[in-house]
Amino acid sequence: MHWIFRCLAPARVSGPVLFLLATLALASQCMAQGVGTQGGDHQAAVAALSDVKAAIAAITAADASYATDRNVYHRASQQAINALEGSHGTDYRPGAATSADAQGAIGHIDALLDRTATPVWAAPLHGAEANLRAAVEHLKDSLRTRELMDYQLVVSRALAYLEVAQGRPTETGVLAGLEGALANTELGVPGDAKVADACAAPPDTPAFGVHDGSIAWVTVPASDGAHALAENPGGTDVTVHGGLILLHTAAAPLVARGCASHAAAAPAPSTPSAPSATQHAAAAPATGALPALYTAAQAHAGAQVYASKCVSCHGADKQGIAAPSVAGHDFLITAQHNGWTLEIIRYLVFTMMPMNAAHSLSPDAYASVMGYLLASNCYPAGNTPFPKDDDPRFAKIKLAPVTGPPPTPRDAKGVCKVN
Amino acid sequence: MTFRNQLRTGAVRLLPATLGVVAALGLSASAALAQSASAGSATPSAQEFAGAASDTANWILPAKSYSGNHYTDATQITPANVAGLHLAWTFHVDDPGPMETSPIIYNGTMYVTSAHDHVYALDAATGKLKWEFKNNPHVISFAANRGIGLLDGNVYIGTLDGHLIALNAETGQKVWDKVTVDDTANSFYTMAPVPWHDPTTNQDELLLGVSNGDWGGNGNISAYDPKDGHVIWRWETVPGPGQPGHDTWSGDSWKRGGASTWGGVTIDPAAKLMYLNLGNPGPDFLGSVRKGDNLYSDSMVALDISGAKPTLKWYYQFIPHDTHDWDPPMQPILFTGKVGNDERKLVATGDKAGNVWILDAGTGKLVDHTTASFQKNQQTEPSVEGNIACPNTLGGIEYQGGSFDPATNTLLLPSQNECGLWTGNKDVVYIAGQFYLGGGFPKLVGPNTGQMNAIDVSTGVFNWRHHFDLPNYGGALTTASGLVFSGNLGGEENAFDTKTGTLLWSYDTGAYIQAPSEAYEANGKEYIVVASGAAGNAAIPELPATGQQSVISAFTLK
Repeated sequence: MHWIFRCLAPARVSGPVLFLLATLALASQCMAQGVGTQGGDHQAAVAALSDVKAAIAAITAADASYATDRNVYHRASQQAINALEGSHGTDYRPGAATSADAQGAIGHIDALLDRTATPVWAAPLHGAEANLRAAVEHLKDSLRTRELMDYQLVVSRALAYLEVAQGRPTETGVLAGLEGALANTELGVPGDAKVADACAAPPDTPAFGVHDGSIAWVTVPASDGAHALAENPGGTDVTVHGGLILLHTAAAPLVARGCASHAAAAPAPSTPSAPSATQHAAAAPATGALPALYTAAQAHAGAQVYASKCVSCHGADKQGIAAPSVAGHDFLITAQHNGWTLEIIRYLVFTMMPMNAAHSLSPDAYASVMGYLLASNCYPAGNTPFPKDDDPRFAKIKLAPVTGPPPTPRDAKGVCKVN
Repeated sequence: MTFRNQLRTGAVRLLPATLGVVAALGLSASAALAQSASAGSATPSAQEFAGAASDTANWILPAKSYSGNHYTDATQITPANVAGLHLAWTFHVDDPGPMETSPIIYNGTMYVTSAHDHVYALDAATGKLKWEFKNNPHVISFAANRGIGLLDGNVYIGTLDGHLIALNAETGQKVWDKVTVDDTANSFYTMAPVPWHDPTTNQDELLLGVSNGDWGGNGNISAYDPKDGHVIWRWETVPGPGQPGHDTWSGDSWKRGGASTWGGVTIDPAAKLMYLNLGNPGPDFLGSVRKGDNLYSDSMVALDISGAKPTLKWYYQFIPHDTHDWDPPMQPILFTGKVGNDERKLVATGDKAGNVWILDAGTGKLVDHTTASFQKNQQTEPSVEGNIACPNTLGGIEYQGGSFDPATNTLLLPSQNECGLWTGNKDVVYIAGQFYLGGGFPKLVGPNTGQMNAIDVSTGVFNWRHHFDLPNYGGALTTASGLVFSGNLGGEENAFDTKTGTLLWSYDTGAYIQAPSEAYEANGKEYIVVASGAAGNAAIPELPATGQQSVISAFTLK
């Protein structure tokens, strides 16, 4: 059984993982091995990470030099910009030598994201890119500073963004940024490595356990020899299993939940494109469980606002004329299908409406319209008014068809009467 | 012989050549034609579609013919007698909302649609209802429909929830109903399916573009099989990875790039070219997340349709990197006009920024550029604090289209002067099924007026302009007898002298007009027809208090 992990920059590790990796004995000859033809995505992600590290290294090296020449610091900032933007970047300046490639970190990430599919790692890469662009802006500012203290102030901000983009562990120990994408998603799988379904038991050969694009575990031989890991896989759970060392990644619990839900769903026939009425009934919360989010008086007041400000576009029957439908069975089906939360609806009403005169109503009026819309969609009234300010709970309230007896009579379109 | 007659003779000469292509492809062409014949005379044949421009009795394509030119050879109604034009009949539509329909008229039956995808088949001479189909789909965007397609014995309508539906043209009974959009959260149809017989593949097709650009989708033009609605081909308007033009989108912004195909389909059957106007890029008002020119948004594209699938022949981008929703929304007008001393095949369009563009139809090179609306501050992106730019999203030149008059060598197009207070956001979040704007739609700040324009094709200079104190969305129908018909948003259907711009006739339809005017004949008499209804998105404070009951009005001479 011979298997070589792709040899890459050593991972930043801590705690038991550090111990584990120490026993694995990162071998330097491994670093010199050639680049395989497989795993282009993996290589691009690693190259992006390497560019980010080069940018950080340039800045920290200048800082450690204790130089008194301003140009030393400015050159370091330019080297960092070059590493991030690559030689195609608009802020690239030749002359400041770096280890950067033509694409730069941003170019590598752009290339990775530039595809028809949206892989599971797209979100962390989008986040990394946003932070890298912010870092570039601060680095550009640093080029204009004259005093060392000013320089350090600006560059420390850039450094903070760079470290987030590189991937700091979160409070829960899960890695974010580029290192997170390499540790927790299939981007971390080198092109020539074996991949197994993470929901099944690990095979008896070294492999990456992947499910829905997330890495749940990595197995490496427990035998003597050098075994380099592509990147710190996160997580702290290590077991020895059948001659293999099994490392669970930080994403392992997430993947386990995904496997469990798949298994539960497997026996029942799934028809997501055309769910039956009974499936909707089962999926939707019962009326009794629905939160009371507004007062009856608010809904009553909201009806007046709707009649003067909303009706010409959304219609007296709320089924839409110059604007979409906002209440009733079809609306709630669509809301469920599109994953609309109360947060989203509130945001649209408070910040975008009316369409040609956003923000033109008072917060009281917007809140009462929300009450009226909830009432029209058969959500129950209560004693607490719909608030004028945002509430974090709203992000968790998902709109869906309301089952059970409606609080007021429904019309043919499933819109509840507002008294 | 006048210049006009010479040109018309020229147009007739083209016709046998077109038919020759069909015939040259062999007797197999008769298979599709036999099918339409067996379905009775309820729907036009391939020959009738090819000759639609010179058929004064019927109006069988959204802009009369594949050229996109709202021009009729009918001559009964003239500048001398138009004052005697009177209301022949009205049909009241039982569906509140804006009326944007281009009626399709064939063999004495008129098919019109309403805001919520109702289809009405009317007696073209009396307005009497023959059958109706009341769809009322779930509205995910806004309620509007621009008409039906008539082919192979059926009426076809694309709906507000992304369905393509076939109805029996004689009874209105549903034949089939299929979801034909890819992304149901964002995609819907407003344009009329365009019947087309592809001579290369000898196949009848329905050409239909999807509306989804302002909701975070990507546009396409697709050909569907009229028998069952399956996709024959699809041409994407935003180039994907590896395709030319892809590098005009930063990062993966192309995935929600917009460039919808709202505007209709213009075809040159002889040259085997299809001309499309493509919509604005998305997010509409935030350019920083989609750096680059953003092809093929805000462009006219000419597609080579000589093969089994269309390929891009040329494109002309009117507004690179648009941040104001200023796309060209109308069907391109293909015509032969005079530029200096040369007769040239040209293709013209307007855009919502208020520009009129005339291009060489063969090469896509710019011939003329004229400004037809009040323009201000067009180079500045919408800011977080807000800034004024003109026109706003419903200013400039809208979707109703226009016409070319060979007699005067002029382009007839209405335009609007509306300004907006625009606001941009710092960032944009995609929410399935909601606008993907990166800012707010502009607040109206006036002046909210409009005009009818006659533009000399040779010089790009106005021959005349007629100013209104309200927007004038109703397109332009030109008659061979020297009249231009157009509806004003205030509700008046107007007739102008094509040569002088003199307003010769006006009639208040009692509801707001934003649909194009058409001409047809029933029992040998020439009629003018227009739809009116609610103002919808075009509502402005200056509108007169009038009824909003949707109505079809037909006019004829006493």
